[in-house]
Amino acid sequence: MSVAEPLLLPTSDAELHGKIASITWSPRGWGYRAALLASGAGTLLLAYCVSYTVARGIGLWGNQIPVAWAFGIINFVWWIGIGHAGTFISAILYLFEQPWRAAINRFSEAMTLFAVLQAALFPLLHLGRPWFGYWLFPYPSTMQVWPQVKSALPWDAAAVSTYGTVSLLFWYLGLLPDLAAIRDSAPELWRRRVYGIFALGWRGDERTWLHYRRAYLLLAGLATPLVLSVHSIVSSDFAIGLTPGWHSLIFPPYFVAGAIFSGFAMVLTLLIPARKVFSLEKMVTLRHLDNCAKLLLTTGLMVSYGYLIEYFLAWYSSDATERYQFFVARPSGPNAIFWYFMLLGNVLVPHLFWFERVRRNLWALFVLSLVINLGMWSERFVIIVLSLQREFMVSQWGDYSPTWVDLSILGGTMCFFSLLFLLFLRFLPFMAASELKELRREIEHVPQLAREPREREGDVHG
Amino acid sequence: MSEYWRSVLQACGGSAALGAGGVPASAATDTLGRRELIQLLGGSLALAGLGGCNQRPREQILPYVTSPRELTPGLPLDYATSMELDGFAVGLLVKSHEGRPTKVEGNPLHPASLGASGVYEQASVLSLYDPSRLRGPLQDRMPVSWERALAALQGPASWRPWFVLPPQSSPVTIAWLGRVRERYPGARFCFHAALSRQAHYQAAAAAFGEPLEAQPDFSASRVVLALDSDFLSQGPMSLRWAREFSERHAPRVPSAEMNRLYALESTLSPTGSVADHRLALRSTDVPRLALWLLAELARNDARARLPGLSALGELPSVEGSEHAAWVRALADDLLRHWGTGLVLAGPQQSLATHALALALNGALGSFGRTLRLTAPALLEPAGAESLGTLRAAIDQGEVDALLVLDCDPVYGSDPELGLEAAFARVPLTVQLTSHSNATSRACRWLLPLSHYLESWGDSRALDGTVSQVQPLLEPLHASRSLLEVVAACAGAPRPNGHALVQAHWRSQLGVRSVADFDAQWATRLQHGLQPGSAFPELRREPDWGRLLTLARTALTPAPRDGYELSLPVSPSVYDGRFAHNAWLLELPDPITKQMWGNALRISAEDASRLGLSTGSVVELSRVGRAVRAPVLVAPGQAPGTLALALGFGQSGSGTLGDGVGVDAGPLRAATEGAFLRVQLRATSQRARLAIRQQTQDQQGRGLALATSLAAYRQDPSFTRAARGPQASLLPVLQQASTGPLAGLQWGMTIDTTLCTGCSACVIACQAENNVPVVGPREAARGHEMHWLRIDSYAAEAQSPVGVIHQPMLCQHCEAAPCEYVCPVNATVHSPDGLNEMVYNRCIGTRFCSNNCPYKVRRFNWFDYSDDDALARLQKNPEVTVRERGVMEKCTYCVQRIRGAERQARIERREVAPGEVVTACQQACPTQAIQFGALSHGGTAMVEWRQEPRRYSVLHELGTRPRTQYLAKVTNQNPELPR
Repeated sequence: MSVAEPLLLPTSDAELHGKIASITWSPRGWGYRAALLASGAGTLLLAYCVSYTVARGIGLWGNQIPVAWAFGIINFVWWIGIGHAGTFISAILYLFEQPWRAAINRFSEAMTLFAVLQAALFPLLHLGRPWFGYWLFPYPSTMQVWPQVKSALPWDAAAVSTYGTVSLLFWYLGLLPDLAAIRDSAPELWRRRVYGIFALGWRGDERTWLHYRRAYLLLAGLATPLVLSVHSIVSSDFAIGLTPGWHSLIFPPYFVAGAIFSGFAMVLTLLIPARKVFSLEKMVTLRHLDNCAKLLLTTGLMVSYGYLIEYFLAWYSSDATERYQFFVARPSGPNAIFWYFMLLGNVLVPHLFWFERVRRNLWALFVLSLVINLGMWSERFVIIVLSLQREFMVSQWGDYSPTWVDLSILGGTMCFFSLLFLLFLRFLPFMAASELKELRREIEHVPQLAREPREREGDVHG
Repeated sequence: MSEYWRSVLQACGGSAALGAGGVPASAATDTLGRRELIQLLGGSLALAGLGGCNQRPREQILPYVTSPRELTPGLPLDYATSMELDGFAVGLLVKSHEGRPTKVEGNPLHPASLGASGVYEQASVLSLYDPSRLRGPLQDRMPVSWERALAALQGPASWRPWFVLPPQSSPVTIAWLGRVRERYPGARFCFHAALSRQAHYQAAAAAFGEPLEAQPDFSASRVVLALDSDFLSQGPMSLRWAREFSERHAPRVPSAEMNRLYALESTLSPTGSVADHRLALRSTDVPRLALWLLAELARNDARARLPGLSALGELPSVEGSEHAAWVRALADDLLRHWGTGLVLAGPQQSLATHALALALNGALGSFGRTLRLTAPALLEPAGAESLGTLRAAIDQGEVDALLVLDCDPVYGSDPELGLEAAFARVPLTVQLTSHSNATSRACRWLLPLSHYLESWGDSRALDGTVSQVQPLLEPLHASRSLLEVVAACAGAPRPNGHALVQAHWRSQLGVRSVADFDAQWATRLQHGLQPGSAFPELRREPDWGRLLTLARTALTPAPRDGYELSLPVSPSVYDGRFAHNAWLLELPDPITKQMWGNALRISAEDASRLGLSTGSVVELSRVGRAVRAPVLVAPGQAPGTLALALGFGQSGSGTLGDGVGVDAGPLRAATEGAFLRVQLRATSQRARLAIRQQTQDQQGRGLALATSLAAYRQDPSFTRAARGPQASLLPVLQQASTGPLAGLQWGMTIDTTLCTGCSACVIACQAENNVPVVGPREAARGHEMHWLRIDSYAAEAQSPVGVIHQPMLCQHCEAAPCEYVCPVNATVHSPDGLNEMVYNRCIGTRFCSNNCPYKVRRFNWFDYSDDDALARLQKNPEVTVRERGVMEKCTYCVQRIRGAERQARIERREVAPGEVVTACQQACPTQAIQFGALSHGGTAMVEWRQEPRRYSVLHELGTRPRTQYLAKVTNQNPELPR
């Protein structure tokens, strides 16, 4: 094994504080402003298209019969999937005591929140009558009708709202010490006051930290099963249906793996430029990137396994419609290009991460993370659209093509996401400074921590 | 007026307060009575702002019941009337809600309908309310009054008016045309029809000395040969012929006898798709093949040797031609069934073909057995004048006035005739029309024509039955009927349709007293026809020699240069007269499934040779004139032939049909007849066509099953894999409740052997259930809304020409996949087995559509409902009009089910077998769709389910659909390969 990459390069509390906390609210350069402007414009486009859709109808999208679900649901699943990496890093890696999570967990938790926000738009927007969307929730209605719970869509409503709530709470809880640090160190009075309100009276004494740790552990415990359950439920939107290409029992685990896969890719997409722009090389070392790449490899292999099982079962079933869908419609039917993107991004690219040279190369990681996200979006396109295009009734085969409203909404959500992210970078500490300070002290006392975990004495392999 | 009221009151056992003179007080004064107020409210609220109230006509119309009933708001009434198309009537019952007609059904008493109705009849109710109808007389595009217009139609005795009008069979109109002739000895009449039957009558005139009608009797025939004849879906008696043919066609048990249909045609038609054997060949080759057949028959059987065959000289032999085996097998089969055979020729075929068809019928002993001779219903059926003679007369200056009544001769006419320019040279040009069209551009006076639902009149069916036309409401606009305008030309002052019809029949029926006439008149209105007025059968000796001289042209083979282009009437807009009707424009073609327009049908061989695919634009050219059209690779198209439907490509009419499709008119030539020789050139353009069904290949999935009669007899249960209980680990989901709420369990059985693909059921469903029209752009995107569609598939084990038409609608599955995926309980299962759609609970997630394997659910992608005040009058008030964002689908006409249940409850009885009839079932000419309750043992719906050829579509999915199908059985001739 090569020499272990350090977990945290030598730094000081002051440097950590300076690079993360005290730069909030400070003016940014022209690059930031240009990016903010572009994102803002995209967000306005999104708002316009959303209003247009609600006012005129879903006919503005490319949906038709048989392809009644398309970009709306693809985007929904894609964004929710992306969010899973943040929860994985914050909660699961916390429970597994992985110290390298400290540098990236705030960042990715924010990414999760903003991704969930984008995703939450779609279950409402894609409805024919979105003003009645609240009927998906179980409330005592004067009509004496409750949601029909055999359907996966009320499960979605429950899962996504739970996920959003828990993620928000978890993220906010983690922010508290840093908000307090800014409150205590900011020169301007108004900054102290604003951050003071949001710091909720953090005192930083023993009792506060004790309660903090307990609450954090509790939320991590709550969030962990969500990583598995939320996307399993989202996958059951398809798995409970009878469409060939949807009706697969492998979907829950395969979707969860895919979600973490795409989430980590998005983490890398955001992290690599931010690391350069904000000079975070000391906190986000090559070790972090290397670990992210290894997780991409692992989850990518799980996704490939999912595809393998799907294809095997389609063949094994001897069902004409299943076989047609998987062996004819996907490789050679309309919109087959997305099937090829899917294979490229999700099956071929992860294998590049076997090579350490690739895992440590910033440009390679950045480009490949984009390809992976394209691949994951294409996977949802293939599952939803390609399956519906070639279903049982041959007379109702149809070809799908998106409209400009579809593309604008997708692009708009990406712009809205980046707008939120840019604002987050500006106004909030985007790393868990308190956790990094803690980590720094741990490394000081136990230098071996800085190296690969398996080289630590008495540690369990894992 | 008081006389009529008195008789109505007497019939009702009148108890209303009588004022002076025996007239009810409310009717005698000017104040509105309670009844009139409710009638007016029902109809006229929406008409506020438009001229003319929506009243029941002041003349008395009588509803279709055995005794008159008062109008009850909320309860519709059925009135009998008739619709005339190219001179022939089909009897109808039209449902009227609060004084406005909403739905058309067939009249079971009428011989041309037998209770069924076709696409034109079903869609006609929408034409009544079309907003682009002419609303008042126009002179040089300026509005004028009817007084002025009628005054302009008068002239001195030396006046030479030319009338261009559709073929006429109406006794009243014919009488008045006679009076026009008396008044103006120089008057000439040109009977113009796009699908003219003149060749048929001319051949009959040659054979019998007078133009007689040869009526087929399918109930007596075992073998039918259709020479380019789409008799099952086009033609004045097609509804009846389809029924009679079908009654002998579907085998109710494997051992049953089936009749056999052979079809010769270039372009696949519904008749060709039902045929047991079909030969695809050039239409211009049909006469020669008929001649070969006649020769073959004469060679093999003495009974088939007609005297007069010598008129043709040496008969050609079919040996050596590619069709030899076919013709020989056909001849053998016909001779085996001598006396029960029938040969039909399509109206667009040449005179030679019609002559040969009569000769073949004679050779096969059809006359008096399967073919009956009667007098013709039309006036001057063989036609005296034509558009050519009109043009010549205009050139000579012999035309003082041109009156074009209810037709459009300029559209689709031979450009060489130059009709539009010629019309401009006539001093007075008048067109009586409902919509502005190509002829309107050339006419100075435009007079609005009343719709048949607003008119008094009569007509005849093909068999001579006098069919009554009575209006259901006063004319919506300032329009007149054709009868009234003809009467005005003959000099009748202030002609009123009701008075004209009554006056004519008073003299014709020869009754002695007023009461007698009133009684007969009442019966006539109630039944919609004059009982016993069908023509009697005539016996004539044919002059075969004279007949066969007409067939001489068949001795020489037709030229084969270029492509043969035929211009059939469109199964949706006919000859273009319905190109304003949104339902018909959006109706998918029975064979190609194209909506909103026509495309050039080309064979697969020609398309691949030329590198064309559906949507490629080509240029057709003839003698220096060119037309561009998109191509559609059509199943069953004979190589070397093309087809482009008539009726499209109109412009400047201000209707929905403007710019839709291609007008092939510029390629026409009066000299070449119905089949043109054209050149084809590919271009690099492409067009987007709105085609409902992408492919007719079942992909080996057994969606629509078919077999031959012989195979069916050997293995009756061949559909076993697609029916019956299924192995499952799970307990069977019980949907049909057995408790006190269960009630009757509804189901439907559809026999695909009977379905011709005519699509009358599609329009009927659209009319009954307020299904919206989406327009060409939306239809091309896959947003069409038809609840019922006809899926057409190539029969698997046979050649691609064998077509199975499978009407597909909500299957009302007992284990419905749509129900468990709806998040808000908007689609649930009723205790009587219906899959119900709750519109006001639906939030539009569309999961139900994704999970429906039959894809029968339709979504309101936009707000498709019509805001037009007039169009709203057509809507059925018993069915919700759905808003944007809501799913909809077939409900088994639940409003009819509940209506029958209500009526049964009021009368304290059970719902009777056959009492509930769905809209699709009622319209179907062949009765292919049967609906009813599972417990009603004797009904066709239940009995058909016992047949061994029953199957469920997508049975393996375990949906347990209540809609069951019967596999298609074809009666193949063992001597002929399929």
